[in-house]
Amino acid sequence: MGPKAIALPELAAGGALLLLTFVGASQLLSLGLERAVCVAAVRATLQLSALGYILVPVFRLNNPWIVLLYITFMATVAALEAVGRPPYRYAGMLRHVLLVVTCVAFFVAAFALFVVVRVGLDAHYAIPVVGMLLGNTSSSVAVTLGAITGAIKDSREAIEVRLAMGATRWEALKATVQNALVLGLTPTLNQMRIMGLVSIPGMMTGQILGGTQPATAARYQLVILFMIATSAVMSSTGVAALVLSACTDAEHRLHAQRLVKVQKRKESDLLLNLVQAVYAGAKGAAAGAKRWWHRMTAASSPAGAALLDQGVNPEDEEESLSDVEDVEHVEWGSRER
Amino acid sequence: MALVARNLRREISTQPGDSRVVFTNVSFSVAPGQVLCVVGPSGGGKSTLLRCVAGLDELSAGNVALGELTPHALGLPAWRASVCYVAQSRWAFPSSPADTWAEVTQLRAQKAREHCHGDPVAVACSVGLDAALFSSQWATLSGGQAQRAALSIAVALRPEVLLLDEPTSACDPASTALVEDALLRCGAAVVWVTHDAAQPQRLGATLLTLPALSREVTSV
Repeated sequence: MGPKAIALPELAAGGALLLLTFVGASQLLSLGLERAVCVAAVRATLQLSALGYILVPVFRLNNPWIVLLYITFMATVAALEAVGRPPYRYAGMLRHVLLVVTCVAFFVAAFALFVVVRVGLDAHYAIPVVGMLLGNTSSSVAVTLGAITGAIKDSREAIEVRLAMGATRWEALKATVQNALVLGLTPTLNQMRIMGLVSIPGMMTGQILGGTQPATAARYQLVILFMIATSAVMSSTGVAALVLSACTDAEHRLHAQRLVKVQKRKESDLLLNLVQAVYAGAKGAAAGAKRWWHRMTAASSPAGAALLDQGVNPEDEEESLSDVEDVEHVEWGSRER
Repeated sequence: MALVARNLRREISTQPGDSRVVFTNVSFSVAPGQVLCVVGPSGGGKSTLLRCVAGLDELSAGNVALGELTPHALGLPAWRASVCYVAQSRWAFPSSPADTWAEVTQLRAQKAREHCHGDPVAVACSVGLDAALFSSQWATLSGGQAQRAALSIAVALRPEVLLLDEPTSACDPASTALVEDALLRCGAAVVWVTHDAAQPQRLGATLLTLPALSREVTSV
């Protein structure tokens, strides 16, 4: 037996109270938040309702491939969220964050669903669990990214003094990375520490409303909590390593100029970003395939061999094509060469 | 060992396809105990030249070596421990020069040459910087004091080569004289960027003049 259904007029009553109090307070104190709260409330309503409808067929079909596809979609949105917040960005940052968020989400979700809860790719478990993981991963990645890129920009001169005295790039940036990681991981730790003291956490609330025994619901909440902390530490560390590789080179030089200030984007651009990310992913995959094809054919075909002899890299042309972001293109792993 | 630089050139790309030459065809050699003064108009690439020799910026052409040893043969951290660059800008550490010394001497490349290290406080005193100031916060030091504190650290690390970017720009004449004297006695090969016309003569230095290249734009 599920919880009691909420009729539309009942939902409207809740919304009306929110708007009344918020707009009232905003008018009274001249906060100027009237428009923002209306937009936020309408957005939340539309997004969650759409989610409700999208999830109906996903749950009904309960097909592992569709579940995987949906998880990939959520991971992309989470990566976009994380990339959108920090004040600085570098070419290839979206790709780095997409890679880290997707890998971590898949690994931790697989552990949770196949080792801990052992239900497999059942849509009823997988989608809410991965959704919660990704939401939290996205914010720790955003905080870590913001802290590291900001600190590199701010303490650029101190970092260069260390390098000039003979520090390796790791020695020069260690303190920066440590601070950023502590900053990024602290909210997760705090959340774990106060869990259950102040309020019943969201997922447990949901399960109790759905008729689950509180003891069972508590265990589910704990599993989620442990998995959230796991993905936070994995993704923050991964992103930190990738930022370091993007801002330094194998000769232990700092390239702080690769971090460029972001002009504040409007929230509605998320959709645009999403389209761009899918486009970037598709182009990246196509370029990768092409590169592989060149590598396979260059060794055998006379034309390719001639190109290589002249020192012309056949990859160069595709690189400029696959560059979707507006700043200098960074290729995977090219920093270490 | 002498620092030898051959045909150094540095270009920066201003926009795709175009680049600006910062300096080109620069060659010099400095033996231990000698001073080479780099002079020329602002924007002539003097600081960039020092950064390139230290390996903090990339050279577009040419090479540097310490005797027979190149930066790549030594590894860049070991090269920079031996060829120490002191930037013109103030060292912005949230600590004291003494803390910075402690931190720098813990670097792997510096620990390898620990036996060379001297006493930074003694050097600081020789350039007129009070021992107490060496233990106070960087932020509380005046421009000239911070400059001499940074220099004391670099000199006490006893590198083979010191690359100094206007090391006395914030010092009064008396302090400048002390700094010049300390650097002449430190035994390192010194490459010294200066805007003080009389300084090269006081130091008995060889001169290297970097001309202002007329924003030359070449198509790549």
